[in-house]
Amino acid sequence: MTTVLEAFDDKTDAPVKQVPFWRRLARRKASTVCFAIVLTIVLLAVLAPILPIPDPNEIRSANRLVGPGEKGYLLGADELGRDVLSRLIWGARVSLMAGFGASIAALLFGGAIGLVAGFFGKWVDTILMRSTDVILAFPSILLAVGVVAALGPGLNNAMIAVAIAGFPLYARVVRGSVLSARENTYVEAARSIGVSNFRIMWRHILPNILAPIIVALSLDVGIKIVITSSLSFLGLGAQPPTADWGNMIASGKDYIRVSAHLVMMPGFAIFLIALCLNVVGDQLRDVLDPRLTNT
Amino acid sequence: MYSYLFRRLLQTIPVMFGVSIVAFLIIHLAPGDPVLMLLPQEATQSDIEEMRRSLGLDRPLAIQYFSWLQSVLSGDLGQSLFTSRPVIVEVLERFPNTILLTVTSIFLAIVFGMPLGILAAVKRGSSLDTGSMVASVIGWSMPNFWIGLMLIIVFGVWLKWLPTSGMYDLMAEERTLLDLLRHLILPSFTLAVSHMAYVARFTRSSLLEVLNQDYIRTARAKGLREQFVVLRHGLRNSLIPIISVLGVTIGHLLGGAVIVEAVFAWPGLGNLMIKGIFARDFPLVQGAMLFAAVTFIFVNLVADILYAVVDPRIRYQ
Repeated sequence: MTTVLEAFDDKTDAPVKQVPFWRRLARRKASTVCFAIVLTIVLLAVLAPILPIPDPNEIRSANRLVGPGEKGYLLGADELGRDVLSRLIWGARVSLMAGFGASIAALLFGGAIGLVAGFFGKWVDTILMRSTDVILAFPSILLAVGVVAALGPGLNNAMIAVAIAGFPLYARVVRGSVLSARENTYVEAARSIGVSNFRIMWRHILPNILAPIIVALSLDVGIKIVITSSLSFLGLGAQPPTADWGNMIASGKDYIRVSAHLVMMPGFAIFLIALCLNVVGDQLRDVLDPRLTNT
Repeated sequence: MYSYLFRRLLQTIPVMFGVSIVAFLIIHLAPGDPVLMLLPQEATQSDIEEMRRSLGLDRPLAIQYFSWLQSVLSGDLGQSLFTSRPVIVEVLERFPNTILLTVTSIFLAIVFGMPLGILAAVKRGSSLDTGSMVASVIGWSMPNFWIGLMLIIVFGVWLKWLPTSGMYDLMAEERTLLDLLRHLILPSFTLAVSHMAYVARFTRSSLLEVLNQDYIRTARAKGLREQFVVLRHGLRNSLIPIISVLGVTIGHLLGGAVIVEAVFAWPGLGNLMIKGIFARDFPLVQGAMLFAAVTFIFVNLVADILYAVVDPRIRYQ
């Protein structure tokens, strides 16, 4: 039987020993494997110039549509005899940059809007968030396609378009977090000693809402890679001969009857990285955002 | 109920307004002078000025916007630069095809996604739950144009079971319903995959939440069969949030249709838009975008109203 004293001694009252988040993250096998896969793909993309792979744009008409494993081509050759493996690795640079670039641009723009709207509230909030809602009234891919139509096809324009279609997500996430963070006593304390609004936002609020931002970003990058690849597939992203997973699929599409690998490989690459980023993002959310773990 | 309806209708007005401004600005802030594109190379400066005046492009942007809005409200979306037909005719010709594709996909997403979500929720923590949730993450992560091409490879090229492009067999003498359905299978399934995953996940979490409620415990305590408890008491109540999710899903489907239509050469709104982009046919692109956005707003409005009909608590928030 426990006495009153023992009850007070209960371990649950002691401060919970903080397990570092990367260790909590590593507990799940799936997210560890996925994290390793993402890291490998990123490393391959970064190291592409120094890897012992052939030039991705070198045309060898004698080796047109060579299948995987034949004539020394590990993943075969495309319709111009270019090495598919090499194009996949070089294409990863473009596709990853497009996805990350679009997400980060959306984060910076949407985050700034959300921060200001949440911090100042009142009419500033109303105007900013209502304008953001207008963007949400468009199906996002459709809006991105429309913006690229106006700006003209190309990698940078595709990134801008996807960022424009995607910033409301961050505006909402950041605004929501700011609304609760600004009620904290440390914000009141900072204000009472005359700290400027900008400094309160930058030094006191922003560091405290990083967790939901990181979670949103990690779940979003995969989606953005898929969307920018889709634009590229439609011919609105990176222009040939620059290899990119989306335009590799688009050009392989015409040879689908004879060389299905031209479509399968880059598509699988997009799928793999999107899947892994989603799994890692899900796990990050469980670890970093304790409010959501109970649901 | 009427006051809710009124408020909700009132809310759509500024959004519609904003959407029209975005659609207008996208084309007008685009780099490149439309006048230079319309005129031949050897046009003189005075020709250019003349053309600009006749198109009203010399007026302030705000004035241009309002005169554009006025014609849009009267159903005039301008003329296609490429086919010279009114944009509204082009759009209305393709729109039903997109709707057919979208509605079929929603149907598939519900028919496959919902049972998966129910099973996962009921057998929570089992390998069935894990399996169906893994399947839904996989479905969610696959780019739909890739799914489409893989289905073409398997069912069109290898097995030769199904047609892979267009809506009807071009060689056939007449357009039959059976032919249409055969052409519809692959694109609608492609479009549906990621949404099946979404519906499955949503059904699972929504049902799990409801199954924790007191009235479920009461139902079980009364000795009702588990099947009855889950389907009658649980599912019915967990279905309510799904209505609003479906509203948003239709928006995603309208967007996704742009890509799937390109893969399967489905003659819908998305296909029209892509063609318009490559032909630099701005009025067509603008019209198609505006039309899709307004459809999306309307669908969301209907979903919200349905939601309020089913769940009276919403009306008083």
